[in-house]
Amino acid sequence: MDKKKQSKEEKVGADGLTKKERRALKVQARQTDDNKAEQKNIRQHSVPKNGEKSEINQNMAEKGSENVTENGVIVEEVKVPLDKPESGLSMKEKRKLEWEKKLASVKNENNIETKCDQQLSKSEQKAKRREIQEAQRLAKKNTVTKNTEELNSKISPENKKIDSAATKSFPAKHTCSKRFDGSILSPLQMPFRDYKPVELYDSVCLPNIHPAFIELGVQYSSKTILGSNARCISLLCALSRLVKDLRTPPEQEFSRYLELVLQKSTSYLQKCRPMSVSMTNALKLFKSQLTQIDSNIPDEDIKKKLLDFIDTFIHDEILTAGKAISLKVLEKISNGDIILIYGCSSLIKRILIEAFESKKQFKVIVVDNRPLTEGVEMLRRLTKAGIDCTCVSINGLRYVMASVTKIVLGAHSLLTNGYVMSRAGTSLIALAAKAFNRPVLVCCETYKFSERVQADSLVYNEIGDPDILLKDDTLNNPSPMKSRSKKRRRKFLNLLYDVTPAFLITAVVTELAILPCTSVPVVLRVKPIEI
Amino acid sequence: MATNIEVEHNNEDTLDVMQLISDIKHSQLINSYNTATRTVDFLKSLISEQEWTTAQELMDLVKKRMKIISTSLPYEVVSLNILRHSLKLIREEYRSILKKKKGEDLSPPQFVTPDYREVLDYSETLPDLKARLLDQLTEYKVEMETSCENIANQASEHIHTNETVLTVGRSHTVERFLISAAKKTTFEVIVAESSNILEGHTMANNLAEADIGTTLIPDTNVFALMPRVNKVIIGTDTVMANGGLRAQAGLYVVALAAQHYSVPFMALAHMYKFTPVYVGPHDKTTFDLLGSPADVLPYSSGPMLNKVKVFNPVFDYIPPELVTLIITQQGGNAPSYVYRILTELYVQEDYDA
Amino acid sequence: MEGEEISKYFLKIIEHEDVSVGIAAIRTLMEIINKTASTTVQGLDENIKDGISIMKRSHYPVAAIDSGCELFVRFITLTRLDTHFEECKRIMLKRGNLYLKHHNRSRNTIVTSASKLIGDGVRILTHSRSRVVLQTLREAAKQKRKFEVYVTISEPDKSGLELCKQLEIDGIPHVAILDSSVGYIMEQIDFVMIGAECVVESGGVVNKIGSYTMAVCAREMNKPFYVLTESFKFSRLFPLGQQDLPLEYKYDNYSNSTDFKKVHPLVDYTPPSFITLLFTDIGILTPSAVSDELIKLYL
Repeated sequence: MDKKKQSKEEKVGADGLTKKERRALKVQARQTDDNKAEQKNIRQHSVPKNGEKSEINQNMAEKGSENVTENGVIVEEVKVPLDKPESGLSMKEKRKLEWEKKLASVKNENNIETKCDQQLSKSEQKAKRREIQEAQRLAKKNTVTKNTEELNSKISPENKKIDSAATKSFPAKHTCSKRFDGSILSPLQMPFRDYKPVELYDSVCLPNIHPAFIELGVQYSSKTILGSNARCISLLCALSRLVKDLRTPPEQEFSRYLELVLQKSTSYLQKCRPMSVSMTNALKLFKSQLTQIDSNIPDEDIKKKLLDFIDTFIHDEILTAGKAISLKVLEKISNGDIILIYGCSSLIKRILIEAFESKKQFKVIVVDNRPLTEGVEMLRRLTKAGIDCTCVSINGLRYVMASVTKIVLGAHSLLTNGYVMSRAGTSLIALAAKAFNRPVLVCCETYKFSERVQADSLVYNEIGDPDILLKDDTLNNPSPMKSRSKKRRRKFLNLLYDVTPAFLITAVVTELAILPCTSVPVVLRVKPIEI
Repeated sequence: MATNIEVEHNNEDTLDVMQLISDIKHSQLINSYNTATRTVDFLKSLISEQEWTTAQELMDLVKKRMKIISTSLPYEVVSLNILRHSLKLIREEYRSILKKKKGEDLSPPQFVTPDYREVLDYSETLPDLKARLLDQLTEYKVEMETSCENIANQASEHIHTNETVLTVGRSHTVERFLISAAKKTTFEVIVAESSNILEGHTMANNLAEADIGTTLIPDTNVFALMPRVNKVIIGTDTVMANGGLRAQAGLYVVALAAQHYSVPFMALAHMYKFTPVYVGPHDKTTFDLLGSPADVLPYSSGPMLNKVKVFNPVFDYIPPELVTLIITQQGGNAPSYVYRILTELYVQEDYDA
Repeated sequence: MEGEEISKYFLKIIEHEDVSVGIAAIRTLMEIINKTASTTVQGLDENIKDGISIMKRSHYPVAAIDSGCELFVRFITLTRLDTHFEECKRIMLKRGNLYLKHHNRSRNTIVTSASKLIGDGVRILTHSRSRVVLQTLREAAKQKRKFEVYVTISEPDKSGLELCKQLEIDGIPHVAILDSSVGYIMEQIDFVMIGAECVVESGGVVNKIGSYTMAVCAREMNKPFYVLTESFKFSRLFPLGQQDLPLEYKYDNYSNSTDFKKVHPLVDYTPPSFITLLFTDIGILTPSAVSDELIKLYL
């Protein structure tokens, strides 16, 4: 209960943005270049928005009402279609809408900022919490039944977390688009897309999206499912459920229809959290499989084929590949090694535990990273397996590096130029390793190899929730950065990935072989299915 | 061990130094500047209140206290450096008084002259010495008081309009430096929050209050953002004799990232942070200070706490090749010139004291 | 003192006493001054110059002789006295003795400061045979430190094996390695510690052939590269590269040879950027401080 209280305060205190504004900002973000300009151009803004909205929510039965608040921010309301599966929600939604409308009109009349803010936020919170609870119920109802072992291990410890994560981090997230406005950071000239908070509101009333995907979206955005393997596997599981449940409408081809549905589902997922390379690659393969299938055979056969494909993919590209990589790394681990790892990676965990089970004697140093503190989770799993672990934060790197003999890292993706895209901080580890001449092994299944080239961490990255930096449970004292004065001057940035130059990496361990980083294009060439 | 020493020395005449040590130890003195001024005050009272007649006796008194400090507080440098500097002041004053008296040039002979260690015995009783030393120390303190300002005043020489500056954690000197620069130009500051202690939050807050565009980032993002950074400006705990730095943990990787992208890495340091200590690769004693493990792995982490070793080092060593400039109140210098500053500050014989 | 006599005296010191070439050269010079037949300062100068060139003709490292003598001569003639020759000679000898006395102590100073580097479990790579390195290792062993030394055999004179012999006597664990395996071994060692024949103005050092290779390897692997050297080895030379080193430094009896391409050089030059620190009797110096000290001395 305490926590809830806290989050309540946070909602108001963190940035003083009301939820209405936040949501509106999300939609608006693309057009909004300058906060100041906003106020002058209220009317102008509303025009392109209409267009965009209809683009995005083509299929939604919508009854939009646009209100202009004193900040010049436009609030959009969408009437919930009654025919959607989660009909229980609609009543609540309606109630909420009414609240919002009322409040907005009050605002327009009074133009009193602070009072409205408080009022609004309180009511908003209630509505919000209700929403979230709904979503959770939904999520629980649709618990993934057919899940791989990998996935289970990823999700299960955090099932409880959904609750707190959803209630705590969600409201905070809504603020980011405002905080991280492109115009504010113009001297840095960062071509980032804004961090887009997920709208549960949107998600639950989206028709034509399979509940499995909705659930997945929530899990992605709340970071309940983390790590590119886990994300990919869960996507594939959802996909197989979709394939199973899909009924072709009359007059339509199954594969065409599936493609259409898939399109919508993935764009929804993309909204929840940008897709990882692993997911994109898997989807790409799935789609190419779909187009190759002869459309004249019965739907049931197509489904079977597709399900087979998904199973094979999970099995071959992820699980068996993991096994092969684990064996290859095992060869490189000698007795007495001190292995440094960073953050939490399912593959690395597997490698280390298998090495431990094959009676290799080694110690592990886990480097933890704020704000995600994945390292703690990794430590929990490794110590459970009985591995001798040491923990340092990324600041203590130099202190331990002298004693380390090998560095084993996971990867988000390997780029064609040989650079490694991985969780933020990986490049710092690789740099320190280089300075100490320690070999760096990056473990990566070939299905995560990407055709993209990138030499800079900024051009393509994902902006994480910046407010996580201010979360109380990782701070000893409340951060002074929450202060409301000079808000314009306070910005936060939390990149989730960085790109490590190839020359800092000794080798990439794939299921094919241990390779130099520069062999990525070769692998892509010899692996035709990737195309 | 420290308590043993305290007991051992806990007699009347070293009570003053015990007080100083306890102040430093129990964080009565929150930053290095406070420690420095406190030490100067301590020195003054030592000179005026203790019984001594010759320069040699005074130097012995000071050396004795340095010994006590260095055994009780192996990581304390500022107060030791100031005491070490005072030894040089004593020698210089003694010589200059003697020179006036006898009309001889007694400046220390140069190095290769074999008799460069030919030592004055500093045993003459010079009545002027006490007063002149106190004068010197007052002057020294005034210089110290203005040093932060002097460093800050150089800011506009180093920060250009529209640049992006990266700093890590919090340093009073850096804070003042950036705020002073902001009076003349506009620039952006990226503050890495400095995990564990998270002083970066306070730093970012203070800079934002001073109307500087400030972005707070987690430490892990340093490498990703480094290509957009024009300068890295940091504060340091100590400047070592080889030009390397002993600074807040986490700065080593930042320095490596800066080097990787050829971004200038500048350290701001007051003169009293220059320490005549050389470090080797295995010099654990200089850097082995560990902070509370709870900052890395909270106590709430559950049963695994029993099984996991946690290190939370306080300092990083940054080798001189990663440092571009060291800026003091007297201007900027390359780390390769530190040896020279040291010879100006201290007498070589006192390096080990 | 005639040519024969000088070189005999010089060789006698080197062969029978455990002193470095530089010290031997200085002592020889002292002897020359002592026994000089000339009666003018100018004549004495000539004598000294002759003596130096005679010593250089021996097969001992010219670089060491050169730098040692140069500094010595500079020192004893620091203030050219316009007094009587005998008086002048007396002062020179007095200063010379002071100089020698100081430099006899210098090695101890270096040993004390450098032995602090050697902690327990440290693995050290050294090259050829340097007296001051040997003494430092001994000192560390005396302090009961446990460490291991890798010594290059150091062709062509295999001087590394001599060092191994000495270490054997002292019971210090050591491994003799091929000169060509420096790159191989570098990964395992903690730092490099070598002596020097002379330290040049840039802060770099001239030392037995192979030192440069070692320094380059050490830099690549980020291992500290320490040089232990007495201050009398400081020289005013400023080599721009290997080709720029004086021929007499590089080749034994260089005047006899004509085609240097086919002769193996004996020394190489390690630029200052490869050197981490120099441990000298006048303190621990960064390479940049060397020039400072030389300027103080000569200007």
